[in-house]
Amino acid sequence: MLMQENSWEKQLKQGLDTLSDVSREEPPNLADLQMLVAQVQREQRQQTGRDLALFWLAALLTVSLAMFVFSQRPVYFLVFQGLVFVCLLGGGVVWLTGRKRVTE
Amino acid sequence: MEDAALVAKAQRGDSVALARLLQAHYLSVKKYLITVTLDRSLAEDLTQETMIRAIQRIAQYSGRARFSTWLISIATNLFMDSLRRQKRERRLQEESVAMADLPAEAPQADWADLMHRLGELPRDVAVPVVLKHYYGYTYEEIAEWMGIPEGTVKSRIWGGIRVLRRGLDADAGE
Repeated sequence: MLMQENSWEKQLKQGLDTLSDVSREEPPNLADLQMLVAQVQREQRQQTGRDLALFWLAALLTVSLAMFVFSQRPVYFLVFQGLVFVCLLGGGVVWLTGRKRVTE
Repeated sequence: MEDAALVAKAQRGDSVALARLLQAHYLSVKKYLITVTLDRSLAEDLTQETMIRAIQRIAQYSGRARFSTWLISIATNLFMDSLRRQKRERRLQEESVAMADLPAEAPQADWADLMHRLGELPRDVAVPVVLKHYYGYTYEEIAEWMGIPEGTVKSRIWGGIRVLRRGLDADAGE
């Protein structure tokens, strides 16, 4: 049994050693990798910039909409605020009740 | 220069240090990916993706594991993602596994049958077998990289080994 165990593991090692032999291969040269690093980092910065711009745009739109509704239809604004408050309160109660049940 | 020093520099924004790190580990990542994919061209693609992911996440590398282990975990994640995303599983199983990559003397080698059986295993079974029995990683590490419970890793490895040994049992019985 032990011999068989060693046998399949030995064959696995021999097979994978042979199949994955990279001893004759060269890694990419340093200049190419530096270019890759620079390119990826540039793309990352651009992506971060886009995400940030989108965030500010969404925030600006939300605040503008809220101010517009408040100035034109203060009642709607207050009703909306009330609804948000009730939802938050309800969510909090549900969360706390669930937590209490789990710990009991 | 040691990995730790290069990592520290790379995390401070030194692109040369990061490029050196990636160069030093490129072939070991590729070798690893060949052993789990049994497909050199797929391994090459995934190695490049691993390098890109490492560049993107170098700031998040905590240094708890060795840098090479961190790269292996990224490579494993990418391979598992690619299997899930593109349903390569079926295609890999249907292909005559890695025969194009086998050296000329391979079909006569003792291990050729075992490699065929390894190639026929579903990749999500073959990967933990290779990680455990070729690289010697722990069940815990494999579970973390593959995003599955440790018990699942163990059962997949045991199942995989049973299939791999079946051929040896047959040979021994002849």
